[in-house]
Amino acid sequence: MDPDLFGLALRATGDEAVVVGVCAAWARRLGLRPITVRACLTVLALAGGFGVGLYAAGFLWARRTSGTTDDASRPAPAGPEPRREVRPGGEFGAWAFTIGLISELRNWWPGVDVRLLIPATLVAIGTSIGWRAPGDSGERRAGALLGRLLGGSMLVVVGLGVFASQRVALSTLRDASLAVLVASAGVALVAGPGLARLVRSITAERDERVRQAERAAVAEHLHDSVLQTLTLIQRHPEDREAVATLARRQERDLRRWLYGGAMGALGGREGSMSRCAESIEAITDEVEDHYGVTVEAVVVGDGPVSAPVEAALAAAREALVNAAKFSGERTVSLFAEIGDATLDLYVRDRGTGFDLQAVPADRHGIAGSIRGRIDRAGGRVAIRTAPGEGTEVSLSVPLAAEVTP
Amino acid sequence: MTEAIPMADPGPDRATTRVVVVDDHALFRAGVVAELRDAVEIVGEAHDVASAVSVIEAQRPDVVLLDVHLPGGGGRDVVTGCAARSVDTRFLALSVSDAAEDVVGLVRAGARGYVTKSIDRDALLDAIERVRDGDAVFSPRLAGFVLDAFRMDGGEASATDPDLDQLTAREREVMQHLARGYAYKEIARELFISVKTVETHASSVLHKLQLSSRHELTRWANDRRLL
Repeated sequence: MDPDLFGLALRATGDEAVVVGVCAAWARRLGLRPITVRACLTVLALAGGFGVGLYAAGFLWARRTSGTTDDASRPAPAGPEPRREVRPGGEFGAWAFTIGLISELRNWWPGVDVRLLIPATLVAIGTSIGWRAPGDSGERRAGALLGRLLGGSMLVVVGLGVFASQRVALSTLRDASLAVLVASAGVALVAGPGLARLVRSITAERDERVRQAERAAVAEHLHDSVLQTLTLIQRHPEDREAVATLARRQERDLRRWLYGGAMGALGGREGSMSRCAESIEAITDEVEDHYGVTVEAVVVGDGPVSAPVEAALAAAREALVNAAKFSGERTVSLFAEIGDATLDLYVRDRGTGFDLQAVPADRHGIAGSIRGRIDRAGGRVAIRTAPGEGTEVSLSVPLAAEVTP
Repeated sequence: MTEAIPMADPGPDRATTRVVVVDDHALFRAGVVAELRDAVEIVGEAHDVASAVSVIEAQRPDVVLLDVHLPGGGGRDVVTGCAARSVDTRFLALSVSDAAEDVVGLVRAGARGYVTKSIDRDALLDAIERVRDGDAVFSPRLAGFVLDAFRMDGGEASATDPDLDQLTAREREVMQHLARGYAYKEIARELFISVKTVETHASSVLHKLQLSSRHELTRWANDRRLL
């Protein structure tokens, strides 16, 4: 036996102590689980009260030694001692020691009935095995938990079986019912929290698996998109235009991935033909990439791209390009509303503006690309601008091509 | 990290707007704070729902700049959490989010407006002031969402309150101009009405958006609950 058993070791830290920390201190000293020591002492207490005496002795000893050790005799480590590894062999040793002690005790106190003690001991062992949080010794896997649960339950059953196999005289019936009560309590203690923990840990495990799969998918996407872009940006940090373009393209891509298209939740009507909103998005993307501006596009409604709509989109693109090239602004607004019968499109910038009358007649931008297209599509164009006032191009075309002579 | 970050309170005598910034990106918060510091009084920051509610409850700011997506819930939970504690403050949603259901969900929960994070400083200050005064703030995108929600396409009459489920012609016009990128002042000039009238229309649209029972709105709500 460790000569130090009752000595310096009897100093349980506050959080381990249940009553005054005697069991916890012994457990720490012996490298056992506190619950084992407690169960052993309980069994010994049942065996004629020896456990109570042992506990009291431990308590007194602890009081006596703590006074002297704290002051001088120990080059005490300031922090809390590192937790000792629990020695699995020690557990069985403790139980063997307890059982041996009990059989010795029988000689001293003949009144103690061994037929009561053995099942009680087994039940206590079973309970001490089962009645522990899985975190106690770092065991968290459901398998280990299940094994312990089965082991604990088996011991309880064996305890009951041993008890039942005794030929019970009427006089011991009272003891019998007491033992059955104890055993039932043991079963409840063993199975109840263990089962609850098992169910909880299995659910948590499944959730964790789902989360991990999701995480993997997200990581994969981010790696293919955002990380690649960031690498490109790092390679050319001095080229501001290129960096801005890359960032914008990546943002758009990520946005689409996150939110599933600009108007996904609202405007989406089914149909496999190319849709208006989609085409507008393609145009704004292209202008953003080529001219290094930000197009703040707002699209309301959606519909198929008919011939007039196509003309309007081409004209809108031209208006966007003009704004990007000449307005001096880095932000252009586009608003498109696809109604029941018409598509209304507005391209607006807050830039320099210009004098509409002063535009030479041979410039094709506005005359050909915008007015000509919209006229042919049966729509209307209005351009509002003045020097310093910004520019707004408004287009309106019928959704369906009119039959024109 | 769950605790809020309260800031020094220089006293209530300053007439500036007291603002709390709620965003889970520290970098973005720092940027906003640096940009606004000399114009408004930043009385607190928060990075998730719990810390936001507690710092708002403690500081009682005039305006909360609120991100749509937050850890521990979302901007919506901050609004409802503050309402449950009967903290009377006004929220301005500030986000990169494009998802209509998120934005409209936050507005329906009680936010007074929504602007995207690309907004410039002056426009943001203007929006904060507007929200503080109890007016509505529509970015072009939110105006687009509103127009989409109140589309007059189906002729589907609502059983509950038809007035709430439609925009008046004037309100539509205001929303369209907002979506085109016009500022309130420009709209007023354009429509020959006062800025105050534009504000009234905007507030009325916000009110309708929050109370409307159009089926698209119901669908958004359903989407939110399913998520």
